[in-house]
Amino acid sequence: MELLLTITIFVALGAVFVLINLVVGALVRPHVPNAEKSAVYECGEPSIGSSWVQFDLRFYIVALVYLIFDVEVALFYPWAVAYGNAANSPEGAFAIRQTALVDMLFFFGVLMVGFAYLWRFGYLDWVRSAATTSIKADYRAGTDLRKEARIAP
Amino acid sequence: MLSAIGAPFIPHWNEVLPHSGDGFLKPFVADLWLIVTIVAVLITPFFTRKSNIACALVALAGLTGALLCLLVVGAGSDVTGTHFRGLLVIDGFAVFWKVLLIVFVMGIILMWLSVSAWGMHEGDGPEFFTLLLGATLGMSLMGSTSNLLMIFLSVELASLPSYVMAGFRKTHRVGAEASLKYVLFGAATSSIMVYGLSILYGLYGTLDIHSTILANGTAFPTIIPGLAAKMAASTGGGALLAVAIFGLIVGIGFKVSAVPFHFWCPDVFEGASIEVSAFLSVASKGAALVLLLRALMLIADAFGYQNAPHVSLSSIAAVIGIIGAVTATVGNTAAFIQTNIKRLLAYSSIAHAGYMLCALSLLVAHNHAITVDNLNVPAQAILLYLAVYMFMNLGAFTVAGLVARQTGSELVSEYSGLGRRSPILAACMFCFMISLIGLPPFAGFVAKLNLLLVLMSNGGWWWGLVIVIGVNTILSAFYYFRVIKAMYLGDNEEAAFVPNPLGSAIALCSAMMLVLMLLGYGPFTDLTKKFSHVYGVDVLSRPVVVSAQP
Repeated sequence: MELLLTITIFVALGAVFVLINLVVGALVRPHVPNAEKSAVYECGEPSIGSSWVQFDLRFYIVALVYLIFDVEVALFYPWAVAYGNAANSPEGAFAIRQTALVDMLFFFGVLMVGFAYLWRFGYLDWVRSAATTSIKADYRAGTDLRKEARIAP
Repeated sequence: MLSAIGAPFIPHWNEVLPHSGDGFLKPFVADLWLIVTIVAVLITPFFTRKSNIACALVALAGLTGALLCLLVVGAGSDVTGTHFRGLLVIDGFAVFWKVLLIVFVMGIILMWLSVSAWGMHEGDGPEFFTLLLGATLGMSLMGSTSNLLMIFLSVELASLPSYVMAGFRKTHRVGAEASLKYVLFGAATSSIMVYGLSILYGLYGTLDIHSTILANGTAFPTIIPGLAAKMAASTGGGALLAVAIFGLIVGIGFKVSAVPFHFWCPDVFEGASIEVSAFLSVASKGAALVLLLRALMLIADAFGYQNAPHVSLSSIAAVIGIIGAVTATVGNTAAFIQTNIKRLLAYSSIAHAGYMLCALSLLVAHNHAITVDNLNVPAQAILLYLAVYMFMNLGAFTVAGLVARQTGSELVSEYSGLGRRSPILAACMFCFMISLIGLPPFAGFVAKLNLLLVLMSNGGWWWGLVIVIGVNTILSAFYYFRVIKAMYLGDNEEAAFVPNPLGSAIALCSAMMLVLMLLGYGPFTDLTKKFSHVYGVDVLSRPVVVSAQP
């Protein structure tokens, strides 16, 4: 029972805290809108058109590829520090470094395979027109996909 | 050897490593095979024009390798235990689950070859199989971990590819909707789960649910108490602990599609292509059940299967039991009105997940003392049920896929006259439907009977679960029989057809497995008993905690 009471009070206080802040803010703040203030904020630039536009899917692909390499660097950094410290280890620095190096090379190799796949099949091309996407359907080994993509209408 | 790297971050790093010698990676050769297969699948399209079929074959070869490794390494005492500082666990339970999973995924790939291979855009194969194998790896790891960090990681590794696979047919509007629903639901529930796990860590200061034994060369090994042991030893944190366990149940409940979190299931099954639906119906739910069972068993074991003043195991068990009962009932009643075979099978899978959740409620010894013999009874019930359920669902989805491919529609009404149009498919479907109800000539009966016996033996309010499952079995008979009725009594003027031979073979093999498992009831049950050992669950020989590490 006490447990239920504690949870209820916890949840209620959380909700009330949010509500109070919103209500106090609404009561206290002045309400003087003008065109400049209610405009969409775009880093200080005057906004052009509506912000509700379809965003190009290609940005996501670039962002995803970036993310993969970002994570890679994040993982490499502590590894590199530990790799350096291992030299001071009294017992078998060579064995430790060997294991760590093989591990990291495997990780990097897997990443490279994915990268090669993206590159080979045209995911990195900015102009990845219908030619590149449908070319996968009747793709012949030895075709330069990027070249075909460029000459496509 | 690796102490220099680990020492700054983890206390007792070098002592915890049980196999720092040659056999260090040995228990996980199968998982490593999966990783290698993923890479091989990505490389395949560089060498071939027909990359879809080639990738399927590479994936099949890799899975065969993984299966062989599992069977060769086995679950002997040389591999059983915790590995990688307690991040991963290997025991009979985990190995049995991995074997089931890999056999099932091989079935799914064969099913894809027979049902969906013709419809997939050439060149999409590598991506599809990478996702499928990635999810498989996640589910395999879900079965062999009791570390909070690894639990979250493996659940996400299983979930993220599943989201993509649900919407893999890019031009399919329903699929895109299903995928989005799945992502949103998954994101919400996994954030609740990670909140719960973080509270657990905050309360007890450790990520391992199990205790770690440091074999430091003396006759009395030091024991670092795990989360379960600390929970049993402490006296406070009642309300927070309830919130934490609630979070864990929400996250796993989503994967199991337990009732308040089941809304994604029918929509995703309808929108995804049929082999993905089949994959999610068994692999995803099975992995979540196996994971939850391991976590709950370790906690129950630390409490000696009794209620403690500050933690009522009975109420955790009751919550799981009630969720299971409600899940089964909702699944069966909602399946009544379904006209789409995939939605019908989706609700059927929700109901079966409900039955299996009921087995998870056996956390408190009620009727009898806990002995070595009945210690792992819930694990055995789950393994047996999953093994049978796997073949039932693989077969039923394959037949559904073959019929949909022939008729171009997924409606149950398309099954009318199937008994005349394709006697083999109809006979197989008959077998799967009877087995899904749990009637005698097929193994579904064995699984359900075993589950009911286990629940009955504990007595008390578990009898209520027995009654609920009994009533649900009767309820479920109506909609399963509706398919059978359409097949044999419905009229249809359409011409007879010869289904894809590979697909028919999968259906026939599954049906035969169901008969075999019923005929070989004794050896089959013994096998699951032998493999139902959960590492760390061993109340009788549990050593006394001698030191409490910070």
